[in-house]
Amino acid sequence: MAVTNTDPDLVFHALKKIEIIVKGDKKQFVSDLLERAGATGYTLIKDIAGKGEHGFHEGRLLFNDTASLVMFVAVASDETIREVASGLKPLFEKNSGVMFISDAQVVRLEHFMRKEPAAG
Amino acid sequence: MSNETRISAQIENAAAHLTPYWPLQTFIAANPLQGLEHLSFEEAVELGADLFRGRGYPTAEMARTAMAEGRIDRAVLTEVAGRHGRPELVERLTQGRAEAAAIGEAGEASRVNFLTIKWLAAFLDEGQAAWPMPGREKGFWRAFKTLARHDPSIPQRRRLAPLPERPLAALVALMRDVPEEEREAWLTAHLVALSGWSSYVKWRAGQSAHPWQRVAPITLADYLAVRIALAWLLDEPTPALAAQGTAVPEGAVWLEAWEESYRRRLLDELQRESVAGSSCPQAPSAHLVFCIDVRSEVFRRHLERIGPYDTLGFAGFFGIPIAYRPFGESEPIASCPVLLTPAHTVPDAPACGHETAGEAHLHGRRHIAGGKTLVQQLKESVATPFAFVEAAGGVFGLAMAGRTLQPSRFGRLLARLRDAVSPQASLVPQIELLPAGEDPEAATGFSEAERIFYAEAALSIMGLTRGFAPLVVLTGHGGATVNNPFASGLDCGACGGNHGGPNARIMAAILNDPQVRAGLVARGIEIPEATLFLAAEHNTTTDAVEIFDAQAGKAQHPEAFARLLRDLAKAQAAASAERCRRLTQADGDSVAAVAERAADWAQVRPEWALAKNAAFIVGHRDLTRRLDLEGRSFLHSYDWQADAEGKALEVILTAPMVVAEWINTQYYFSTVDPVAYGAGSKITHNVVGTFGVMQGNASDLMTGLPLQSVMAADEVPYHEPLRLMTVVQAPVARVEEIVRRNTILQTLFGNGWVALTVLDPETGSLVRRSRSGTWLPALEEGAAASPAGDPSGVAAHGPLEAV
Repeated sequence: MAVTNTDPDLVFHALKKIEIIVKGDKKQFVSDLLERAGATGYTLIKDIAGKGEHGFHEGRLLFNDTASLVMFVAVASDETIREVASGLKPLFEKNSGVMFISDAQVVRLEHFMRKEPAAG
Repeated sequence: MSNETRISAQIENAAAHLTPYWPLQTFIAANPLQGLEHLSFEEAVELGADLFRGRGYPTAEMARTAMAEGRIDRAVLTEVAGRHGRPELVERLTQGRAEAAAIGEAGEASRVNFLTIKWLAAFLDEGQAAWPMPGREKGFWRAFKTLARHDPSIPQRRRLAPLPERPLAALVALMRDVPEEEREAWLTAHLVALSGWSSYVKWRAGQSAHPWQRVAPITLADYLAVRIALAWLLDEPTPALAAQGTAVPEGAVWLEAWEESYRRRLLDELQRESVAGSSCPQAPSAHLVFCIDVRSEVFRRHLERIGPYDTLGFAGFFGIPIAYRPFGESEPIASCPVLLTPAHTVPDAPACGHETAGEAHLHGRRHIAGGKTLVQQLKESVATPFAFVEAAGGVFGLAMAGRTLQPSRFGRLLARLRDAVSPQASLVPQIELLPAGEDPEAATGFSEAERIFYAEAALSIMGLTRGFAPLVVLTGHGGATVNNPFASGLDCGACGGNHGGPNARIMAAILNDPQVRAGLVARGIEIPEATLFLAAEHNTTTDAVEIFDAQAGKAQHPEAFARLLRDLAKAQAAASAERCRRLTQADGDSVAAVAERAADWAQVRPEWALAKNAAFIVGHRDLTRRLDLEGRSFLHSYDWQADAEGKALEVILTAPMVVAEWINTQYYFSTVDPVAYGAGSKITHNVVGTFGVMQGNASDLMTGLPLQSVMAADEVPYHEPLRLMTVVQAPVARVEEIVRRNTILQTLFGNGWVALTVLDPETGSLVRRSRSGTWLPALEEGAAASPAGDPSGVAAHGPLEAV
């Protein structure tokens, strides 16, 4: 069933979404990378569990934060996501981790527009 | 832009070889080859030789001494050497002298190294320099670029000006001619050229909240930009990685024979104990919980032999991920393992009715701090030193004489003076949740649910859930030493290199809290009303145990408490006598002798700390109570019957054991190569920027332990360089399940960094896990973990399931 948009203010803007799963000790590298590439924000999910090349990975360990996995979710322009992916590619050649890139739509586009890249 | 992004990832990969170096103030033991733990131990040692020019195995001379002292069993050596196809090695140890393996020298100062060190030391200074480097807030690369044009020792320095301001952009320009596929290796070579400094920058770059990182921010990109720019201006070739390893293949045989000799003796004893009956006193008059630290074992053994006490081992931070804020301080101190981020801040405040005393204490402390600052300023100002020495030299001379001739008496005098100016006030940790204004992050303490959670976790992980004695003493620990930059290396690793007393006080307060006790009943842990939790601190240099809340103990259980105090003093005498047998120049009354060492400002070895550590035993105290483990075993209490799902065991193996592995590998590598992996001799140390030490005035930053912490003499090790063996008292299937669901354990056990042995209480069997994941009888010949460098040896054990 086709949906007609009756609200002229409710426009879906096409952007890209990247989901990145890395070990806890790469958290800072990824957050720096997102910032430098111009992503205006991200969601961070800590202590995630799952199964991959190295078998099942436990979620939270009581006394050890560094061995856990974290997931970043960021939505930004194609260009910014490409930039992020280009920084992750060499990382994944040496470290475990995954990234998924998909199409996403947002309503408030201005919240996802690239700022001037942070200096440094 | 995308070039910069790629370089940032290449730096991240290149820096993975480095172990972050924690500053001296919170000295943390860490494996210098931590970045290579994904490789097998043998491969890592070989690569370490290339990268850091470090030796990774004991020398023949060390092995020969060990054999002469009976620490390497000849029969075991014959067996191990034969298995490796090197039977001739047995004769090498018994005949003639081995060629002395020379100790290397600290990172030679090439021109680029020298200048890099000079600029880093100026930039990273944490208040030691009288004149700080200007412009540090801009970051290292920019600050350097601005000032370098005034440094005449840098040739063609005008060429720096056109380079970009952003360090990554500057690296793109500086690395224009380096082919893409060579960049990572090229960056690695530049990082490991001064691996100590790089390791500190790696640590510092990860500490955005560190007060000095805010004053002088630095990243690895900054550091590399400066270094590579200097190499470019000086036209110095890229530092080459050593082409061939300096590791001796024989070393692997010495190591395995040495380990096997130690392990088989220990396993044999443990197996015998596992079938003997319980040795626990029927109704202990007190439970004492100590840190898992190997030094606790000595004290626990003596105390248990003196009176009806039952002791337990638990990570010395008592399971609370906290930052502790001492009374009157604004910055809290992270007091938990570095594997954890503190989740709660707990401040100390005067006890009810002691507020005035608290004020007087703070007032006095401000006077002391003001006096110290004044003296510092007078000493360092250009104008005043001469007049200052004229006026105050006599006082300082007297103090020097006191410190030198009567160190412990002088120490007591100073303490009395300090107490007179700033009288001690009775303080209580504020464990209840206190909001601080609008900012939820600034709240302190724990909610009731959190207090109950941490109490339950701690008690169930240590296996103390029933049969509570009237007194339960939580005993943290810390060392005592003066004029020692490595002081925090003597403190509690589980508390991030701090004294463990605050954590003990906080946990005791939680466990005495009536709300917590009520909450625990609902979770099946009933603490009798009469049971009182006390906090104490074990001084690991003097073996004195100080109980913090003595009044409460005296009031509630006067007899048991008085007896405990007497027995702690007796245990101190016995433990310090044992300690003195292992130290040189520690004669006469043992208690006085160790007190003298702790106060002596010329003492390079106040105590042996964790030297000789070699095993990590997880199980009931019955397994070890009758044994003399010689202060070589980490002891973690564990009740396998109360942990069917293995949750407690999983915590023990993934955190305390990991910390024990860091400590063990640091002692190991600092012993087999005291310069490349250790900090070299204390005699020629210079403290730089307050966070590290150099040899002389411009060397690489010396990470690892000083020579005096591991060696009895320049060439004679005191520490026995053996890798850690973990022994777990639990069903094999449970242990295997835990290993399978934790990558970190597969890495440590599978790559030979730690050996895993299980005493299965259900079947009575004693088995070892081979590196490939098969369980084999532990005490049969050839049962050692898969032989080093001989993959065919693994296959010989039959079909194995790889994990």
